[in-house]
Amino acid sequence: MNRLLKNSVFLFSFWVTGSFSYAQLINDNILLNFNNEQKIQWLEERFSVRIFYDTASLGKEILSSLPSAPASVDTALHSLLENTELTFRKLQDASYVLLPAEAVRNLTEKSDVLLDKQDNSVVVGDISSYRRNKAAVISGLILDGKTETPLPGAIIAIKSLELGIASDIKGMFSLSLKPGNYTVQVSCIGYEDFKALVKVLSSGDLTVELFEKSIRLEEVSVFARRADRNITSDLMSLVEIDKKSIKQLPLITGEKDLIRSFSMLPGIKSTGEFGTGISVRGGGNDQNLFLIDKTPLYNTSHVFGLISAISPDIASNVSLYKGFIPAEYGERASSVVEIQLKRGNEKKITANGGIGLFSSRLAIEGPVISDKMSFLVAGRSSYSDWLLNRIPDVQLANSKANFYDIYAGINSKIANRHRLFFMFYNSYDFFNYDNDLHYANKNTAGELKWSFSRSKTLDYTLDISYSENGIVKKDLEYLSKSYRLENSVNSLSVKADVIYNHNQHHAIKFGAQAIRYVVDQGRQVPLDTSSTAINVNLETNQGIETALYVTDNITINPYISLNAGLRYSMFFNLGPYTVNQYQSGLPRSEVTLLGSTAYQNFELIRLYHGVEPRFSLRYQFNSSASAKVSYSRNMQYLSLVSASAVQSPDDVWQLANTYIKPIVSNAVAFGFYKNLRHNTFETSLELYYRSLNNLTDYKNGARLSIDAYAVNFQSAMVNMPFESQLITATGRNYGAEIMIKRNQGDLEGWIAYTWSRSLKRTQSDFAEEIIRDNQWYPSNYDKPHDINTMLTYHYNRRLRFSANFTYSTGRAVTLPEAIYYTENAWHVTYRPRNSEKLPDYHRLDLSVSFDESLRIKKKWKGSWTFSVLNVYGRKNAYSVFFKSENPTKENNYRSFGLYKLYIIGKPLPTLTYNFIF
Amino acid sequence: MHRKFLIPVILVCLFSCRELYNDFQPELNEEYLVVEGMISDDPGPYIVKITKALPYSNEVKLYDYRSEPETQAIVRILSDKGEDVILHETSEQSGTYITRPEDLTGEVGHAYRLHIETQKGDVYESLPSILMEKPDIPDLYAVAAEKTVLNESLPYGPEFAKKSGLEISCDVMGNSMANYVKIDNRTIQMSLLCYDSTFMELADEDLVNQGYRPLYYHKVDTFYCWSVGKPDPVPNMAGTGDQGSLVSGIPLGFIPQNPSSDNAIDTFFYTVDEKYLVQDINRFMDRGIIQEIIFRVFYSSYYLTDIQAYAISDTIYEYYRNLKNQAAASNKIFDPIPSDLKGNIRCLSDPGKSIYGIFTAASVMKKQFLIVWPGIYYTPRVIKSDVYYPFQSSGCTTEYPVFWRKY
Repeated sequence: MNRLLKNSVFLFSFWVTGSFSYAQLINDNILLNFNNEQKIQWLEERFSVRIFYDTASLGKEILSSLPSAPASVDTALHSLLENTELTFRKLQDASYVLLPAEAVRNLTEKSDVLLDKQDNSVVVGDISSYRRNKAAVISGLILDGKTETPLPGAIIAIKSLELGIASDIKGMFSLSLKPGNYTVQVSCIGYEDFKALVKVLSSGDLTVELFEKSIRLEEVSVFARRADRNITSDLMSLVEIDKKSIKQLPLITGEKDLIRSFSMLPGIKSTGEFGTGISVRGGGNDQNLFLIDKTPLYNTSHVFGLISAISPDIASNVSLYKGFIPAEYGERASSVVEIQLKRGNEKKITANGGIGLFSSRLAIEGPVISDKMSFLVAGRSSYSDWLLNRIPDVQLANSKANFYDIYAGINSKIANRHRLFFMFYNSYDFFNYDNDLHYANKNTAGELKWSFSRSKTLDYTLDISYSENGIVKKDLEYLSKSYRLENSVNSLSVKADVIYNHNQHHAIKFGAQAIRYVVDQGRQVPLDTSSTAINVNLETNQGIETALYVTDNITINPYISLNAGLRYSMFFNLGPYTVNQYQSGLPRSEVTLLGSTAYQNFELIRLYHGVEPRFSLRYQFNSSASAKVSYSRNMQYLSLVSASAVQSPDDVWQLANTYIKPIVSNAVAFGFYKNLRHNTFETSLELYYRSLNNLTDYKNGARLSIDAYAVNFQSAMVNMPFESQLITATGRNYGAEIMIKRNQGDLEGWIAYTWSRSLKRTQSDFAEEIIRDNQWYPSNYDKPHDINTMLTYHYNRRLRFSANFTYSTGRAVTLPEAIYYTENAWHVTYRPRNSEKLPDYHRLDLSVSFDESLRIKKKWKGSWTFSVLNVYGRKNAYSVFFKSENPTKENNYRSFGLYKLYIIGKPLPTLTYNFIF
Repeated sequence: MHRKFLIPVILVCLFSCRELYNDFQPELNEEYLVVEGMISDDPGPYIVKITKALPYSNEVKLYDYRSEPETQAIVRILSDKGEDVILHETSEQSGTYITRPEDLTGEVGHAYRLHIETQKGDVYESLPSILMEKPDIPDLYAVAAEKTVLNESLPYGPEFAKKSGLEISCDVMGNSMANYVKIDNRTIQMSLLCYDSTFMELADEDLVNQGYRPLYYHKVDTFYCWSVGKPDPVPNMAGTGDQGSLVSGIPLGFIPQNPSSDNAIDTFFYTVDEKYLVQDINRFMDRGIIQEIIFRVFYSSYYLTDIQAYAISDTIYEYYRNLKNQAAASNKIFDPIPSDLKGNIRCLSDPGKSIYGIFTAASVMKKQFLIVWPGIYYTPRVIKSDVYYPFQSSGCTTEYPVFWRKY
């Protein structure tokens, strides 16, 4: 063995030494000692050719070195002239001439113009560099020819090479080809194909503009960016809706809904009947990062979840990472929803909108400076008061429910390869019930982004964004208890990204991010001098999250590709803040409170940090089958403390602090993907397991109101002692997702089935902190079985019918068990936490759509959709709540009532008119 | 989630509604027991009450319902010393079982458990509960305050009113292994109303000049009244943590100043006899020349706070904490998180069977403090009593209490 080792070392040393010696010999003989003429002469002799040149021109230049063993005279000349102002042309088989490059370039451009007109070809590169290098890198950009906006997911195919790739999210692609002529075909769903002869001279740019088809799409694939992307992409558990697919989203209450549409897919569940809050693979709604462009949005819905807060008119592409999350994203534990915003038409002004029974919307876009700067302004507003006034119920007639959202974006090419994007978003929700309960929710977000393409392979982006969410609640039911409560959360983020596209098989992205969070826990003010509500002004808590990340996306060979990344995040919980101190060795509660410690402004209270490795590996068996495996570790420093699964005004954002640790998620997933009949059918199976640490849950009997805290903690309370009502739990979510989808044909759609569990467990020795004997118990999002089918039948090019059926196990709830008398009062005792299930949920929706005119030249295009939700009128329970009642004749002398609330208990027809002009 | 926050959803859809949810029926087919029992280091008798719980139903009507007692059960208290004492059901109140004082007295450091065998043959037993060393109550604090309270006893319905009164709190010294103390407290308010009349003889000025001293007549008519504060349904609690640690300022509640306030469950008056005269009144009365020259009224209030601190385990603390929080539910959005109120008793014959309530073994420290506080413009003064005078845990007698003379 030792002998073998010694021999191997010797042979390796010999090989290394020999290789260097040979290279040195060549360099010494050819490169170092020869002048220009000698180099030319050496080439003539070596390849038996004749090379003509102007000695005056040659004398000004210093010819470069040669490859150690040039394969051809072309290669050798390319190398020799690499750093000179000279180029060469071949005259005859054995004759070459050296010429000034500028003269040749001028000549080439003229001849290219002529050539274009004659044979509709496109030239890429510089003739002066023609065949200087073996490979030419084509940096391409695919644009919507009408709006000049990038088109992601377009397929660029060269049949002669059996080569095909897709444009990325910015509509860009990169190809490495040998110089030569190629027939290139570019296709994208909903657009006319582009086909042209491309003459590749050297590395260069290629911009292709596609125009919308005038006929119905042949590939109506709602969530696919390209037919076999599910097979070829190295990202797994990624759901995408591109611009064309957004048009075909199902209408619910007359609105296309970006976020809610995800809940029809496996592994993603709505947290309420029509809530836009989503649970991704058993995670809470706060574990999803919602980004509009790069700006987080804290409240994603209007009217408590009925309608998404983002109008579909402003979105160009939506991506949801539900398992593997690339390292450039952090902040949340379960998923990332990224809504790419439209950039506005740079050519002409266009508008689209919709009119419904409760709300209307309008979006206008166009150029500010043609081809330089564009804008997009959009808005929605509700007008439901007129309906309320017609309800024969005094309380409802005295109520109001309104919302609006506005968006404005400006996109500008400020210089060559420099772009500036600015956007502003604002939404407002308001309602009052019978003038005794007022609630308002306000979202404000803004972003300024500068992007710079330094070269074909290097992009820089600097992004500054701000987002704020504030809530105001007024309770005027009894003047003697009336109060006003308000709180807010905001964040300011600065993010810098660098993308290096080495070639189409290898790209590296790295960057840094810093986010400052401010959580204003709010204040409560009595609204009347007789009010017993306590006047409390709580402290504001702040923290800074920083992160560095790098991600490497590499195609190792035709079978294997890898997306690997590393993120390192730190979180600084900072003063000014007063931290409560509790007795050691006991659970935190009002009875173990000892005192408090005050921290000064920006004084460090607590530091958390951690490494978040991520990877996704793809093995492609053939063109129609692949398997993928991924791992993601995510840390979340800002979480929403919520008492229920559905979105509720009492939900409060909390930063990681002395007592609340960041949520740590470790997720692994395995997937197998198989397409059938030339991508007509997609099938997939994904298995996942996610462990979660430092989840928060409420203690049994936890008190939630400021008044309760203030009474228990005395009126000296200056911060919200949430920690006294919370317990720490671990979580585990696991499941299997199966999906069969048909992408083409008159009948399209999918069937998806998910089996999953979402469980929690406390680990404490104190009775106060123990839920269900420290055994695993279902979380609020545990719905083991979930089936979704969505089918669309195209009767003809404009008329289509859709059916949507959904079924899921009812979610876990805690229900009352018994009533008994003790300690001088009647008490209701409940079953163990989340031990019961709501009844199974199922619903059938039908719709018929009459799409807009197919004539391209028609300026005003309108479309109608008629839909019926909940066709068989099932009263699915949205939530169950319990209340004690005063026994009266009206309630049959009932002492307690357990009620279920359903949102749509009857078939609900809606009619919507949408238009574009 | 409170119903009102779903109203917008309802409004927009116009097809939504709420209805009684009857799909769920808890599996409470049998009569489940509720136990309320305690043993302390005070001399007995110790009382265990056993009643039956009602399965939850939307149709439960409690306005005329009395919980059904569990009668003829065999109830025993067992200790780790080998004591096995059978409790006897009282004839006055069915389902209430008591020990005889001579049979059993709890001792610190020993574990006790409750054993129940029902008529139907079900066997229940509590987890052993150690009677831990009693805590101390070194101080009580009273602070004058104004607070808006709800007066529910008015004939025309409840009404909020601003009241002056005392916020009282106490310190507890954890002298035992127990992590928590349960604090029961009641306050008796005592009012002293004095009519102070002074009369002077209208003597001739000449006589006075000659050295005659007019005679004075001093009469005091004094009325006492006292009220009993309504005890909280669920006691206050505190964590004592490490042995010997002092927990300060445990809130005990608000005591309104007016004895006829909502906080009083009863008020009693006592008129003090005329007791003394400065001079021989008869002599002056005969002369018929007495003139009232001064009339003063004194009003003064005293409060007697009775505190009983029990050393309890964390299981018992958790039970009372949940009970207390759940009692605070008000059908509002911020209602406490629902929880099961199971205590430390298990069914041995059928482990899956629920039983509610708690059996507490706890040593108790009892203290009384007198608070002298005439009114909102005065600073309350707390006087610690060296002697504990027991009074009834509920209700009052018309006899003014024995401790009265103490102060």
